[in-house]
Amino acid sequence: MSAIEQEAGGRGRPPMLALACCVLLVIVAVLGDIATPYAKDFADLSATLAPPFWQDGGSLAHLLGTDTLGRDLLSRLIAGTRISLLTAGAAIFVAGTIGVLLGLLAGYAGGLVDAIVMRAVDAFLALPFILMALALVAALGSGVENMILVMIVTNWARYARLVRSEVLSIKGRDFVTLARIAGLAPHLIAFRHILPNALNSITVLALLDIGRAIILESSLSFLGLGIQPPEVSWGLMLADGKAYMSFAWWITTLPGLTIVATVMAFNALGDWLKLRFDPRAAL
Amino acid sequence: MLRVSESWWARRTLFGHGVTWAIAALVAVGSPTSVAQAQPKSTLTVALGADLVSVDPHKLVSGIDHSFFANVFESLFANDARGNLVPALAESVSVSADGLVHDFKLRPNVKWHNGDAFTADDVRFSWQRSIDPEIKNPRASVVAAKIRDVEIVDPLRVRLHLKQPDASLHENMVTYFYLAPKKLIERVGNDEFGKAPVGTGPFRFVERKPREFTRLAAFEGHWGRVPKVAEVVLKVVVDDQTRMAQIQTGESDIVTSVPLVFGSRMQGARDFTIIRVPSFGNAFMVINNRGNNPDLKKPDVRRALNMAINRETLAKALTFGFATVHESPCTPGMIGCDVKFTDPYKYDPAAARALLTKAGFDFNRPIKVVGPATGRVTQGKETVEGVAQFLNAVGVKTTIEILEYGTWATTAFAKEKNPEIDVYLLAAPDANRDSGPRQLRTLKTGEAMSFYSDASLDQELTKLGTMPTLTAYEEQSRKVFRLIHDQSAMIPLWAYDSVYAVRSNVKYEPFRYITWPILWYAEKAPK
Amino acid sequence: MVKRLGQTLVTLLFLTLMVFALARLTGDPTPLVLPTEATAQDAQFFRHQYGLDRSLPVQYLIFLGNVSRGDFGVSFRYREPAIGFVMAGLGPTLRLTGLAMLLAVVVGLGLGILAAVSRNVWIDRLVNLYASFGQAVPSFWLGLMLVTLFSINLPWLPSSGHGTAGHYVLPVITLSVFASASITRLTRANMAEAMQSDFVHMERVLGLPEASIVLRHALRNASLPIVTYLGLQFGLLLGGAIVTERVFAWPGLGQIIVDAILHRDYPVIQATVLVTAVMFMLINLAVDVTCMVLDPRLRV
Repeated sequence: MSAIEQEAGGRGRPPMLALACCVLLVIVAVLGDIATPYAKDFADLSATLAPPFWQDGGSLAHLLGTDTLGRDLLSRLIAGTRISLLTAGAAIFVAGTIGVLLGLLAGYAGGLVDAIVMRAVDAFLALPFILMALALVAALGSGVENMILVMIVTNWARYARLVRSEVLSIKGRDFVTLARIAGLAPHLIAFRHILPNALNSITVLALLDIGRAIILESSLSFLGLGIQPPEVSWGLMLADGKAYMSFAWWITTLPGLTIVATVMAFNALGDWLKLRFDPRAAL
Repeated sequence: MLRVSESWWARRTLFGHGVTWAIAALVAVGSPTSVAQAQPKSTLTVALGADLVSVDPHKLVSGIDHSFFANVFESLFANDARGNLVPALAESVSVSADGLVHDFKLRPNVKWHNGDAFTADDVRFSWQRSIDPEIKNPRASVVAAKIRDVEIVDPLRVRLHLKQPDASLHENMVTYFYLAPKKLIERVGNDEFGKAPVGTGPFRFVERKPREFTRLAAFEGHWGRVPKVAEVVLKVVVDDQTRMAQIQTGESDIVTSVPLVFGSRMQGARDFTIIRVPSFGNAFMVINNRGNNPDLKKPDVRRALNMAINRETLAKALTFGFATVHESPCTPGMIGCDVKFTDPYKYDPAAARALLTKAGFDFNRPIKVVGPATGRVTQGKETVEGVAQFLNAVGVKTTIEILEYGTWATTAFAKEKNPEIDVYLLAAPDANRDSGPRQLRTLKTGEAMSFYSDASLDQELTKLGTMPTLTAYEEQSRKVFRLIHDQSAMIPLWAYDSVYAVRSNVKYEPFRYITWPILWYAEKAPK
Repeated sequence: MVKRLGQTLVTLLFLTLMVFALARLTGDPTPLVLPTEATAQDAQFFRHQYGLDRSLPVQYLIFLGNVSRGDFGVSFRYREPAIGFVMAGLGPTLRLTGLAMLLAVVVGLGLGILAAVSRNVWIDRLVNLYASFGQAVPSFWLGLMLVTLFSINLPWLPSSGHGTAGHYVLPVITLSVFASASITRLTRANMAEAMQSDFVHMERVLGLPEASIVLRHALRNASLPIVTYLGLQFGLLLGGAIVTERVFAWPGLGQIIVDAILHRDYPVIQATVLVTAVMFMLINLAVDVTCMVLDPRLRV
């Protein structure tokens, strides 16, 4: 019995570690600045570039060390959780909503509307999203609100495409035809019958997208075009530490590990969900 | 390359020869960049932190262009290793009593790189070209525009007639009045000249690959400073890590703009030395007293802001000791910078807060602090964050905005200054001991980078341009600095050093105060 | 087929509109391009020279006309044809992306087949872990970590720049990780499915050697979705290359476009984005056509 079959057998239970991580992250994000040992931008200039406590020169005062201005790394990691999850979550939610609506429209209306929407979708998907993000940031400026906007613009297309294909596959089915004959208004059909069937795929996509969004945001922040101080973002911390990599590895390594862990957790959850909804779509 | 003659089996057999050449070929192919491979003896490789923007001496765009100009072109004056003014293409000068006529005796037997002789014609031509609207010289106003006429007395004698006396003319000539060859440019035109510039300097231009490197060769016919190395390659290595790695591996012989953290941690390395020289670079924060925040119009408020910042600690944390804290926006050594203040700012958060309260400062209104992203400006972001922190500590709320370089430049130079910006970080490297032009640019009402306005300061700044002698100029400069300090027109931070890394087999002592490498006296011993 | 081509053209048109809008959105380039001493007259002259003083729709039409002739205009910053920059950067980027793709396919196929075929649960778990990790790690961070390890701590490889074979190692590895993770998953899933098909069952019963079954039949059946995916993956790789190039100071499109955006160099922005997108679309088109050729069922 291969591992895939084993997996399929245990699909009733979600991956516990991933679930625990996600829950923890959400809690931390909600708590925000309350949960930090130090204020996120408190600069202790007498303790700059202090290593984590297990290294020579480290201390328990700063468990994970400090950066070039003496700011506590652990506090900043916690503070960054809120920004990262917030921007990712808000962006996915809005992008998803827009994409779903447009997808419903395209799929249900068909014809020219469908063609126009789908060509727009293709165009948006043809550009590497980071390119689009860069240009948008250059146009709109950086900062949390603009980040969210950028991520919305770069993400809606996948939902539109997904929902449209769901609509097309469901459209021909009997219960839809029956509803139409019964005189149900088109938008009611769309929301009442088509959408719930597509919801599963949408949720899976959203969960998997959170990871992508977090990476996109940290990439932009890394390039200096994303979150700005005094807000904290993991990507920004990475950029801060780049100049000191030879001497203070923790400033770059620890935020990166946090990103990896977070994305892995959400991905694992999304994958499990996908497998649960459709065991044959084993990707 | 393998020494084929030494290996016995290569001598014996054809097969051996073949193998040896094959191995040699493989080694050659696998070697680092072709630039390094095909070098003649004693090539000096200098790694710059950014690429040149212009190679036309009358189109000085970015400070880094001096790395090229200072080696390939010359002016009537130059600087020596201590930063003092010495004659270059001019042998001597006599100035009229009213300061309006500067009579230069030019150096004889000076040749352009293409063989033409240097004469007074070239001086006049360079002046005309500098102010030619077609050329759009960004720095015309510093020297060239102040000259009313250039009179050619004879081929080796020229008289500059100024519009008004200018005590710092000679200082500024060094970097703002490079001389260009008349005959050549008239023959080939500006575009061609821009592709293959020709000067009188110790090095001549050989080739340039934008964003990669610029190659110079020693000019054997130089009048007095024939370089000790045969070739110089100015390599562009933007990434800090790589630049430092190159000095460690020896891929580069000299590295300019060493990131400060490396400079401090890499002292005492075996294969290279970290050299620190004072530069004319200054970091300071300008205050917008014409913006939306009425509190910034009050000198007491501005003074309190100055008192709230612990410059020493901040400088130590951010510049690792490679800066000198100073209360004036100038470097010790610059004209007028030996000024003494009767009431220096003292770091005193309690007193700062008291002063703010007394002045009626609105603690609920945040101050917007703007600065450039780290990169072009050393520690730009960290400085802004650090300053904001200190302000927060005395109860002043702050909002921070870090702009990437393009936006930052636009904001600094905008015709209509953004009234939302309250405090703004600037780091300005001056080219010589005269900081006058920069003070004007940053403080006089309505000037290019000025967010500040004060009538009495304007008056004193304007007077700077009318000083007849250097002594008078110095005294006026001191007066200006005192006034700036009294009004607390800005928040001066520190004067930063230039940090170089030089390989042990290279003999090179960077000139004081010059922020770019002057290379004619550098020597390189074989490894 | 014709329908597909028509779709591509319309999408292309949309793209030009988007690119035009995006580039214009980055702001006014005038203050960045002209020296600070420029007068209002200079600004006016510059605008007129580049047609920036015309109305937007007119500018768009001019843009469209030029682009269709291959003229992307002249860089504001360097006064050289914009397309030149794109071409200069294209080589290094394509080399990086191509090698990364190759590595990703080799590693991905290898690991995917291994995981699908092996009975050892631990191998499968490890491969899965690699796939999860690879899809979760931001490429720029991975690049920085590799540099710390292999350039700084162990001075084996150059940390950035371009030139020798050594310079390729770290950037290619960094860029390939995400792609190889995705390919691993895809391969593993499809192979596992193929291995369970009746066809393979029958071949086993017939006594054919396992290796031959795996390589010839299972793999061929699994390859179609993988090939399709590769086309999509190329776009992702290009996007990843942009950030990776910044980490390694790779003189490719990534550096060009980011610089152009920071300096609001419209012509270069437009040229880069369009060329990239067109390339991507052409590859997708090629993939689709290939699939149509390979599998008659897809001929719509």
